[in-house]
Amino acid sequence: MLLELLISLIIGATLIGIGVHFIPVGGAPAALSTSAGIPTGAPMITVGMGITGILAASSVIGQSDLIMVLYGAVGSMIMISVTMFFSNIIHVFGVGVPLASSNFEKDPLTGFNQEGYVSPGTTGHGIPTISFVSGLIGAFLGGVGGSLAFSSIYIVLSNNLQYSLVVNVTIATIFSLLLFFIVAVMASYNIGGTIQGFYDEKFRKKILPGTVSCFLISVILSIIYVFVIWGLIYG
Amino acid sequence: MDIIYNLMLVAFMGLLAIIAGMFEDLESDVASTSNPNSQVQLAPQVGNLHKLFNRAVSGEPLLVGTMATISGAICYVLLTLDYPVILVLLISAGMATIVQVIFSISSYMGRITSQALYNQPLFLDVLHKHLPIIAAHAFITLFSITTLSYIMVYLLNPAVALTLPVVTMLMGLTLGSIGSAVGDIHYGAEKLYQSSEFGSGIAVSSNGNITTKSALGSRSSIDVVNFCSKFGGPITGLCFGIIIFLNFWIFLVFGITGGLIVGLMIVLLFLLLNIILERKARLTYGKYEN
Repeated sequence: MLLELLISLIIGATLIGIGVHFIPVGGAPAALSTSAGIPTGAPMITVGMGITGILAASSVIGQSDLIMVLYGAVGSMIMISVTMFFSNIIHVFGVGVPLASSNFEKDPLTGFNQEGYVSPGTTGHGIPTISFVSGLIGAFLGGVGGSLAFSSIYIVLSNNLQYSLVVNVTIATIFSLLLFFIVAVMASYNIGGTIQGFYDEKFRKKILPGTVSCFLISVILSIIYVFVIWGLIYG
Repeated sequence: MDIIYNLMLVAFMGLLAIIAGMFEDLESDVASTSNPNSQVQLAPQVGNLHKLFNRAVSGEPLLVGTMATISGAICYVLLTLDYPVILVLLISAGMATIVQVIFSISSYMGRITSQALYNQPLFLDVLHKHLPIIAAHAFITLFSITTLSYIMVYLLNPAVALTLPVVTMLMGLTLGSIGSAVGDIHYGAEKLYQSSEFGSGIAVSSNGNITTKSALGSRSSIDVVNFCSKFGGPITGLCFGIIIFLNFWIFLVFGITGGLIVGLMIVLLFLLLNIILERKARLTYGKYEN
């Protein structure tokens, strides 16, 4: 039982780490339309996305694992799509800039050329379609990872402890939320600044070391988690 | 009957989320909390002394999350003592607002005195003028988040299986992350650099050259909030409201499997809307000309 928990925590946390790399993050420069991407830090948007996923997963508690995991993924995807869309609305109507990035020449989905639409002295603004799709993939992976961790912790607790439903869900929520905080900070250190999703050159350089480092930190975190939960049950 | 009751509650939650999102973004603008604050911090170093408020110690999600947790914890304690609900919500939001105001004072003084090296003075009139505005916005935000969480935990059927302080923390963190990802662009890219040409991103070379003069005298952060309340704030509120509404609505109306399918369709709809927006912006604005 604890071994299953360990494996699902490792898979969940690694998926969160890979998912963060897919999210187009622009950081503080994006809030000034100096760089393309979501205008906040990677850990901040990941935490917001993860919480929505965990809330969605906890609203179908008692259903099968698959349904909980899928609900988590859909909840995260809804959050990230609405946020990116409204962020783009402010870029277009509030700042008056078209959505473009100088990190790639042509958007493969829409076929829009990027050159000429990026204002001089910047590396882009807003979230172009290919980065938007990449953000959706990131939210899917992050949502699956977070709700996998959430549901596995919840199931172990509810099978072995006599606490009420609310206590079990609260413990599972806080534990899985902490995974987002730690793994997202790891991933954002690896990214180091801005990234525009899987079509960006930088992504290809960063994804492999990112995955390995996220896997390693997941293993350490998961072992600590299993010890804490073992202590809760048998301590 | 149950579903109508739930749907009305979810619609009310969406409304509360819109108010919370709007005022949270405006509070972060008037107190200069989030990402664009890097420019307010940088301005004295490149010779632009200013009378803007300056308060950024952590990311916006962590600040809003902390304050909402304080409010939720006080609310939870007072509810167990059987006080009337409306009174409890008001008192808890009020007490958390006091904490936020104290934080704002110490944070402003600390940030500005650290820039004494660049001759940036600490203006007491900035403190006197801005604190009531910060407190008012923070109170509305915290009251809305606490009420929203109260509805989720105690009124919704089936309720969210979490305790009140945890739900307020989750809502605060999410709201902060949306507020910093959406509304701040209007403050950072447009209002801080209003003297530069409209319709262009801010070049790296002009970082720190923020607009410090207003129509009449020095610009204060109250001018900023007046500007952002016309577009950035309401859009942030709408974004948070839609997210909260959709997350509960799809599950209530379409059941478990239907909810999943409708959720995915909504995501695809937003992708389509984004493509239309991108295309429209390109056709309207065209390429940059030297």
